[in-house]
Amino acid sequence: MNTNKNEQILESILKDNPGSQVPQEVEARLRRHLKALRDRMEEPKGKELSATIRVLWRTFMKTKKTAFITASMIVIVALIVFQFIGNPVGPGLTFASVIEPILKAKTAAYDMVFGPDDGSRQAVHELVMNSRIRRQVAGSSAVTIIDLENRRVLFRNEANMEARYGYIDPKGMASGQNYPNGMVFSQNYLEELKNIILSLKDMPDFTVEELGRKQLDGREVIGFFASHPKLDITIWADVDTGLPVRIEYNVGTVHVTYKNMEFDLLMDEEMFSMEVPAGYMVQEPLTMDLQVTEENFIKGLRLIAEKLNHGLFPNDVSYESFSRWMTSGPINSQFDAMAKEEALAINLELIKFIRFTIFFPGEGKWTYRGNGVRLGEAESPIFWYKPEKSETYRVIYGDLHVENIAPEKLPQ
Amino acid sequence: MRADSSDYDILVKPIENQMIQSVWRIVRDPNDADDAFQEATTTIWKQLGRIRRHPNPHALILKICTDAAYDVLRHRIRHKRGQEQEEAIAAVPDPAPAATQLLISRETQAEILQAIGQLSPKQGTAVLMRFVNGLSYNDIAQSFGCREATVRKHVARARDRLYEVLEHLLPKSTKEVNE
Repeated sequence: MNTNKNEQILESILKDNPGSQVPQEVEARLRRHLKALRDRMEEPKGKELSATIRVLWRTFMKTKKTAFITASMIVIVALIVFQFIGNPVGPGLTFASVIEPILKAKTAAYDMVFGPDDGSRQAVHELVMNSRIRRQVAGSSAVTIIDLENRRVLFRNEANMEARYGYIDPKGMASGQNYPNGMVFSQNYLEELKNIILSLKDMPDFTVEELGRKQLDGREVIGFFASHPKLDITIWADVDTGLPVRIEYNVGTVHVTYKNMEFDLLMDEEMFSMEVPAGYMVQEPLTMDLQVTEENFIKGLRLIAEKLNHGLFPNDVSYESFSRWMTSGPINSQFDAMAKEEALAINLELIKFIRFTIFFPGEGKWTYRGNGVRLGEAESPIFWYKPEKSETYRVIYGDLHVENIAPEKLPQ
Repeated sequence: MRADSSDYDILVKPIENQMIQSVWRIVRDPNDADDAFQEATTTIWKQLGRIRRHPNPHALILKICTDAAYDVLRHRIRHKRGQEQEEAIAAVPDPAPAATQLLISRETQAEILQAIGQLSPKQGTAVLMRFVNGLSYNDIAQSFGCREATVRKHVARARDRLYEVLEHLLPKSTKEVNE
């Protein structure tokens, strides 16, 4: 093959075609970006923060809407740390070195998607600075600031200038039953991460598979699939920077993706302020119970049947189906028809309800048979599961009474 | 991370034109070029520390630009925006060629870009850096962080694939030489 000749022809086709010359107006537009880059690079030190905030702000502005509170990806990453220490990943790169910047990180930024990351789901954008989280939503006017250390939440709606404080029930702060090794997430993600790593030193249950390299958002990444009896994690790290950029895992029935991850960005403390801005109307405070309990689950089943579903239980209680159903037109219409405080109270109860299947506290899998069953049908078992270390199953019936049933007597 | 005021003059200024050309020659659409270039300059800012430490910072910056443009190209192909691309290309004033030549070139160009967009990401980036940016194999290898032989393999595979798809565009004499 006449390689040189062929290369010349390809080069000629690509380079010298009419239209390959940059039009003047395009060049002018692109040079504006160069000027902005130059300005940033030449900004005096004191202005660096504002430059970084601009980057963050642009990230925010790509976002849409918010979703439920969930565990930090940093906690999840921690689970696999010790499986990889010393495991060579590439030239000069080990998983230990990939994780190290996270351990040292003072701040983190990432986008979360609940459900398949296929563009159909809305992303939640979070910034973490020490014990504070800013959950920003562009496209909607909702901003949530979470102060884990003091267990306070500030909800701010910039559209209607309303604000509301929430207080997180401390009992619910230690409710990460779904995680191996009794791990919980509570006050400070980054500090907790270090504690978790220490506690996980001897965990033997992870298996790891290397996924090789691929291009992701314009950069080369290397992937790992780590599995544990209760948690599967896929992690992609930038080959060049060694930093994780994307993590995917399943919690119960929910597929969660963390992407666009960045660490140690400069952040302005003002962005995490728990003060209500001037001019906002402050609403009645909320108490937020994040406990995952059977009682909350049953309460949610009753609420759905009585208030939202014409006496019937929901078709499904997996997060995927439930979140679709909750955002469907008929349900939205019912919420619209309610008084504001009633709608809020029901929403809070339903968050507690669905957390039961997301952060399922039992052993193995739960079973739901409530589709088509009407509230009050005492003979119809609608949900059963096996609590931790229990020899019997808890079976919930259509009238919402509960029985302890031996495995051999479970409904078919 | 702190950028010295001379960083721009050292790292970016000497290759400003190459950066602009590398993005434009790949996307050939004013709005896509704007998006890709913004993404590229943002990435450059974020990765300034790495660029400073890199053995061949200019090649790395051009790779960042190529990656950003290539992402746009692949996205466009995935979303089957061929028609829109044609219209966008047609909307860009080009003072040089005669109308017939321009028409042929637009078709050719769209076909080539589509073919490149369907290569694997590594092959696509490598062939664009080689043929569009005119970088040496050594420079490309440094920007990829791999051996020169690896880049040559990527380019060779990409070239073979492009010949298969674009055979009808090659001059007859060259095809005969190849055979």
